[in-house]
Amino acid sequence: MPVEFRNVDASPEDDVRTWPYEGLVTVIDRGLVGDWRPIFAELRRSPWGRVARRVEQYLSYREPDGVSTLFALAVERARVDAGQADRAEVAARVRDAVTRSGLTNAEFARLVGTSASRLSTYLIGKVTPSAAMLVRIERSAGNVWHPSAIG
Amino acid sequence: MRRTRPLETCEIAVGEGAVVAAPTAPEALRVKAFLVVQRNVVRDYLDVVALAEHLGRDVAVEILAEIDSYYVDRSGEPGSVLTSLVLSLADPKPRDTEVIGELPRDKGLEERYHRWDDVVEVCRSLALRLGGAV
Repeated sequence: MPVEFRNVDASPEDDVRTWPYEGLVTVIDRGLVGDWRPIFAELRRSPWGRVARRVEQYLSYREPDGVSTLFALAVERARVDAGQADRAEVAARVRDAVTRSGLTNAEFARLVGTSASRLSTYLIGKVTPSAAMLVRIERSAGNVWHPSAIG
Repeated sequence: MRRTRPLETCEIAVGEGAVVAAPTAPEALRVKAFLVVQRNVVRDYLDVVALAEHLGRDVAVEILAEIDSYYVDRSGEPGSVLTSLVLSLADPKPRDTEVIGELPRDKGLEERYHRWDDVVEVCRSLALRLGGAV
């Protein structure tokens, strides 16, 4: 039988973001894999969001067992994956900027005041540039002066 | 926990016209997963991990996700066997802990499974995928 909320004015069918804390705890404690899926989906949608923080809060005093381990792993994994996706997106934006500029990597690196080798680490996502550098990279891509273009 | 379907087998030729019936690879994985939950010894986790790597993790997850169609526990709740499996794989605590430190002494064990932490990592990866957390 699917898990039920007995003491709160909500249902497990509701959006997980609207569940009262006690409902969340009930699903974690009494649910099966199928009941946990909405929580896991929300952890992945918003790894540092309200539901994730509430799960962490509960795990901070819940008895350690397989369930606690599973949810802790789910939070951790969601955050690691989100971090990797964010870094990959930054690298893609840098690559896009260089392409739009029409310059070689070495020329573009000079334009933004860095070295070609450092720029290549940005391009492959090995190093994530600072926010200020990303702004400079994206702005510079649109401000390249090509003498040949004006005849 | 009990089985609800006949074992799925295949015939393997062993020479001189002789044939033996053996569990298919997916069936072997299900049986080992059942043992993880039911018996809970180091060997059971090693077998699940080795079979999952042999079949490919995607395929292994597809097979194990349907384990409730093959086994039922006392609760009879749909998903309860899968839940037990996911929890065991998320937090492997085999009863025969003495074996963990002696894995390199197992003559039949591939070197990549000599470190228990590496075995646990694969178990956890399977648990997260089976649970729908990745």
